Amino acid sequence: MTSKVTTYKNRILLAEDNDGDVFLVRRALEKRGLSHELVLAHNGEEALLWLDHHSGDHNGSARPDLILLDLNLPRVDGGQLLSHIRKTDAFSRTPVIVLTSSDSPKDRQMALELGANLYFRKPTDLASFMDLGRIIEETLRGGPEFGLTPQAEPQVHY
Amino acid sequence: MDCLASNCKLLDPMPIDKSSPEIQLLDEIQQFLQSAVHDLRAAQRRTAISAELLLQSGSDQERSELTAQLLQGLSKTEELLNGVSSYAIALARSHYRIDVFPGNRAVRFALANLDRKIRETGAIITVADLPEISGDRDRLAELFEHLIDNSLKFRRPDPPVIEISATSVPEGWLFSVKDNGTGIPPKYQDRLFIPFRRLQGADMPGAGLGLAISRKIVEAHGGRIWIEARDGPGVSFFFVLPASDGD
Repeated sequence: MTSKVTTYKNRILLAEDNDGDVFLVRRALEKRGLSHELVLAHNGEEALLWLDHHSGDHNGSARPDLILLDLNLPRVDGGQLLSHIRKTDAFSRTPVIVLTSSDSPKDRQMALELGANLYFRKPTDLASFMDLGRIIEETLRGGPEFGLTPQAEPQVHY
Repeated sequence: MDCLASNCKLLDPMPIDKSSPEIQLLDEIQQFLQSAVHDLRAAQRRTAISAELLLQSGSDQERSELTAQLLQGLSKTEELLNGVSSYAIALARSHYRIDVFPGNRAVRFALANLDRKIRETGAIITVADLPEISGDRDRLAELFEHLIDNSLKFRRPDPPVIEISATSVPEGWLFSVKDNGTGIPPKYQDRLFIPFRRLQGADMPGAGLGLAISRKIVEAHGGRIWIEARDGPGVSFFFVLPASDGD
């Protein structure tokens, strides 16, 4: 008989159309040694369909523990997706980290107003990108209450 | 510090009429620059990080994968730079050189530039008798090139079939480029002409500017461009150009 004790696998939805960035996110998670299952959506529409499919699951085990969201997604962009996520009861408290190449203050403001927990500007050096592993782990540890109170100042990483 | 009343006036913020065409154009250019930098940065990141990983890499297989990533980053940068440059040229209406020439000639130029892609895809392209056009011949050839290239890119497994024709309408000439490709869901048709908006992912070749440039070229000629999309295969692009003098 196999042991009932298993390592909890964090289910992470990554909405990202750039293969190079998918590779880096995977690498950051592996380097951190975080037990996880990565669900990948290549555009906003795919992410939306997956989320809708998993929103009615009452035991909650199929829902994501964390959502990583690129802002500049084809078809349905990250902002529209984020607003949908926050309006859906099942995900209203799921931590969301926005990953983006944008340094536009407008984008940052929009992401935080729509309810992103963190805004991570994709760095152009490997070490800083690998830091994402730690940030993801800390966000997961923070649990469902992480930074979600309206008064809380969301964190911004550059 | 005191100042004369006439000087002080200069310090007042200028009232901005957000609906004025000048301000709208500035906003559009601001948005364009921001998006261009965004996409260039993504390509730069891919190149730089692949190079870093390459230095640390142990296996031959990993090295060749990373080299491929690095080259893809560089070719995306090249595509973006070319696209940004073409967009800037399309915007510069005052530099357009207007003369009258046969529409078929603009299409012939476009087809010559796309020759390799046409042969690779086995595309069948039919061009009807087109009228004389009054406009900038380089830009209008480029317009046809972007539209045909779009049809070649978003093809189905069968060879692309593309039809180019024109009919007379009260506003001038209505041109159409129709294909049998993957089609575009109507709900996305408004986004197509916006710079850098893509229906496919960032890894699709191209800068995401072809249709945005096409719109700028048509508008610079006093025309308009639109798409007839439907669920299912095939899409038709239409544009109207004012009739050339003497028509």
